[in-house]
Amino acid sequence: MPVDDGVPRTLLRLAARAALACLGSMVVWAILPLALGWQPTVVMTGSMRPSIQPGDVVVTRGVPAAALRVHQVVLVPDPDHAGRLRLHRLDRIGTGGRLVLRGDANQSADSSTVRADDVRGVGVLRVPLVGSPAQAVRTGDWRRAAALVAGLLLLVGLAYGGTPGDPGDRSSGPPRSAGGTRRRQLVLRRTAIVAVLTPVLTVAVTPGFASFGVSAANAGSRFTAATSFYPYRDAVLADTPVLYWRLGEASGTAAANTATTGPAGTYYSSPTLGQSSALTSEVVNKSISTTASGAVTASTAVIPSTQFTIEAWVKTTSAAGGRVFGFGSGSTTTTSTTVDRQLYLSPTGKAVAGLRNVTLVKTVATSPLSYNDGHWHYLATTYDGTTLRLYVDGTQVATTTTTAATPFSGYWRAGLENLSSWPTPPSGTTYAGGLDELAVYATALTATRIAAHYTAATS
Amino acid sequence: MFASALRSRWTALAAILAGLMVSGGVVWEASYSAFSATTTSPTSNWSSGTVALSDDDSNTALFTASNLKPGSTGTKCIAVTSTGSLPSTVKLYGTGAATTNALSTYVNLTITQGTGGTFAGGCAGFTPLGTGSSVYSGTLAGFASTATGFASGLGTWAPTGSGSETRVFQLSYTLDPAVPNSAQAGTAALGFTWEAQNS
Repeated sequence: MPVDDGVPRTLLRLAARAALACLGSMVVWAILPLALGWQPTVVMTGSMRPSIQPGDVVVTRGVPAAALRVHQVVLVPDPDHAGRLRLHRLDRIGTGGRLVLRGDANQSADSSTVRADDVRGVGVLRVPLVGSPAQAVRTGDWRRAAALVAGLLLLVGLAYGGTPGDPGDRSSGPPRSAGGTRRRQLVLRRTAIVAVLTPVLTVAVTPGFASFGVSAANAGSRFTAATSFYPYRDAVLADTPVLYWRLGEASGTAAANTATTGPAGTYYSSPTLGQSSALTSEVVNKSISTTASGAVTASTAVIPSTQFTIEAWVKTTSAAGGRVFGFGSGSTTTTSTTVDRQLYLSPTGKAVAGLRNVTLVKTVATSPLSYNDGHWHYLATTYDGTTLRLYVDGTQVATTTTTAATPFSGYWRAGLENLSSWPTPPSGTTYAGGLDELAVYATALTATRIAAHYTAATS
Repeated sequence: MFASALRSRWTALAAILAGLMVSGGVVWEASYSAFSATTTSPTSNWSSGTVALSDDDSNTALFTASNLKPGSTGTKCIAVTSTGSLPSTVKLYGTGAATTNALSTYVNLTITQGTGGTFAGGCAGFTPLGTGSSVYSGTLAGFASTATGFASGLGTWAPTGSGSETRVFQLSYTLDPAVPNSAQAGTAALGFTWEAQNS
């Protein structure tokens, strides 16, 4: 046998044996601490890089909670994944003595903290790479596991193999004639090494996950409730109305009176209920529409006071005008024989406030502008005993001085009325459009309060 | 001569001893570098990939809603992107919950996952997932007390780690139309955190 062939082969064999010895003793390093009650753990993931790599075996030793120090690597039951172990570095001790851990490779500390009593152990030994087969098996990476085992077989083959009869195994080995026996010994030895190393490397140690955790946080969302949920309603109620129909019903024929006194209302001729509110400040409030048909009338008769305020929200595109809200002798679906205290729209869409004087002459205050533009408008009229004022959208737009006729018993009603004997009367007896927030007061509200009502509708 | 010297039993033993010594050295060195008591706080090495998660909120809160009245609503979308190289699961949970006048029990919250829409551009184009789009439906208080961390977090998103994946979350709130006046002027605060952990 030529020397230049035998020397490299022998060197290779020696190197393989050294490597195998190194590997075997590293396995011993990884396993032997079990005898001391220390726990070897295969690192499964890389969040402790670069100091601890996946495939390393980390041996931890149980310590009392009081002996824990920041920057130690600790093994704990994973607070986020039941049944898993987590191997992270102790970043700091947080509130209530709970431990804040962090993977070296993580951008931030773990979001979940752990109790000091739950720490299984503190890292004392790191045995590089020997857990690689176990890691491969546990992650289901069979190709890699097979490659590692094949590599091990190759190493064993190089260290203790050789063709039968090769004299190079040992200089003082048995003679060539005993090759058969030696071959069996070799096979046995190889099998023994592989049989011991493989299970040890693959299953004997528990896996520890160095969890990667990273957050995308959106902090500081803030919800603030209004100081008043129903600012318009509160503004109206603050002025103690004697009738307040919010017209918020979704169905039925009853129009509730929100004021503490006064008559409730009744829907008839089928107004369309549940329309969106005139008030932008009260989202859930509703309005009604009489565009197709409909009116609202008081269920009981009253005798109105001399001073008064009447207010209503209207939305119409009608070119016929219409009686919005007022007082009359009729209680049913028929028009009244006598009417007084009116809010109506002329056929050109101008707002009109009307009152009979002591000689029963119909006196009106008429707005200079038209409001049949399809948007909500707030109409209000006040009479303080001498002056009849008309407000539109919170601002006074017309005024007249007049006396007032003696009040009579009758009914408040929105829509449906015959005003043909009044100045610039509607061309029919109905009002076609949106209606909301009807209220009557027994006093003449000030301009400030009227403006406040309007402001409360949009705040 | 050299060849036969190499083949001696002593040489073989020496090789094995060398292997043992190397292993001891390797273990000592590895242990020292990982566990030395003098190890300072490690530098971040997170450029190496692994698990990565980001959103498009530019550090702006999802909701800053004031003057809420019964029935007030709002909707926002936030796109969360996973660029990690490991399979992971993403969970959503609340942080820093606080409330006054019990307002959070009257704020109804709906969280839906899907595609399309951005934080800055709004929810136009948002399409819920065909199945399993609902992440949460209940009160803000319920969310804050149910989903408090990764383990109790909500959601089923599991990025595969094979490339960048984006999921859009649509969050809608409504102040309960039946909220009592006792909640007037109340406040509710909450942070939303999406956390990815390797699975």
